[in-house]
Amino acid sequence: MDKSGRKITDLREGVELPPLVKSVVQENINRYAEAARDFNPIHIDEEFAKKTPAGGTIAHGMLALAYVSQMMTDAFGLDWVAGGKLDIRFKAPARPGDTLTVSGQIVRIDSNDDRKTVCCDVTCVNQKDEVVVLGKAEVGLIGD
Amino acid sequence: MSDINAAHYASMEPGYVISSARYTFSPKDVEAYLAATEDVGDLFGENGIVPPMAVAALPMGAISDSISFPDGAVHVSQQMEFCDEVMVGESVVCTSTLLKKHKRGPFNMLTLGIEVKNETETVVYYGKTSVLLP
Repeated sequence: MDKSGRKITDLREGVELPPLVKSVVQENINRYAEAARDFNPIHIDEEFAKKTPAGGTIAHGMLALAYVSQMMTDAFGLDWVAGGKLDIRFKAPARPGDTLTVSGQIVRIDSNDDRKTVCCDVTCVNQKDEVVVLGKAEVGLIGD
Repeated sequence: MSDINAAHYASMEPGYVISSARYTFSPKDVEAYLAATEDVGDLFGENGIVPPMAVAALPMGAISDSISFPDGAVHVSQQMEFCDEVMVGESVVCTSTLLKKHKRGPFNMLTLGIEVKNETETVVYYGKTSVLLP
């Protein structure tokens, strides 16, 4: 790992980022609601959520994105924190009891003067291989 | 979700400022966020950097408080750009605005813009959120 916190050293198209596996549990959803100050009952009130089309509580979409961002931070360090871009679609909700696997792959590297931009496909799937989050991430590497 | 204090989206037109609030991240805020997301990486915490998704999450909570969404509303897509670091103890102002309101088949779709600026008025985070409403 260099001083920027970047752990990935093999920067080329096709390289897969180290994946991240997370268990979705109601306790963490409740903690996230507190941390994000987002108390929408669809996430934290089982009785309320049962009566909605979701049929039960679901994790905040931003919690699933937090996992994607965590994978990108682990790989790219501060370059992600102060220069990352994410463009995603939520394809399915994450529910308590789910195990999410976040993965990413470098699909393109653009070079412009002394700056490289690494473009990645990112996905988050549950234990049934259903896609929860699908999208693209970009990160500019400073000083490369 | 309905909240008697929240505005109904039907009454909002593009340009409407949904929420604008100042936040200051404390070490406890960062600790709580890292615990909730089980982030055990070594980049945050001791060196005083706020995780970017903790910054991005705050306006979403404010939006949830400020708009009365019907049951079945779905967060369908999200764009985000982390423009600069936010440090613990730094104040930021999060502003969310209705960018677009349109129909998609039988559904209504809202596109919301989110901007977070630091104390020097520099944009540190920009986001665009789309919500599908039954």
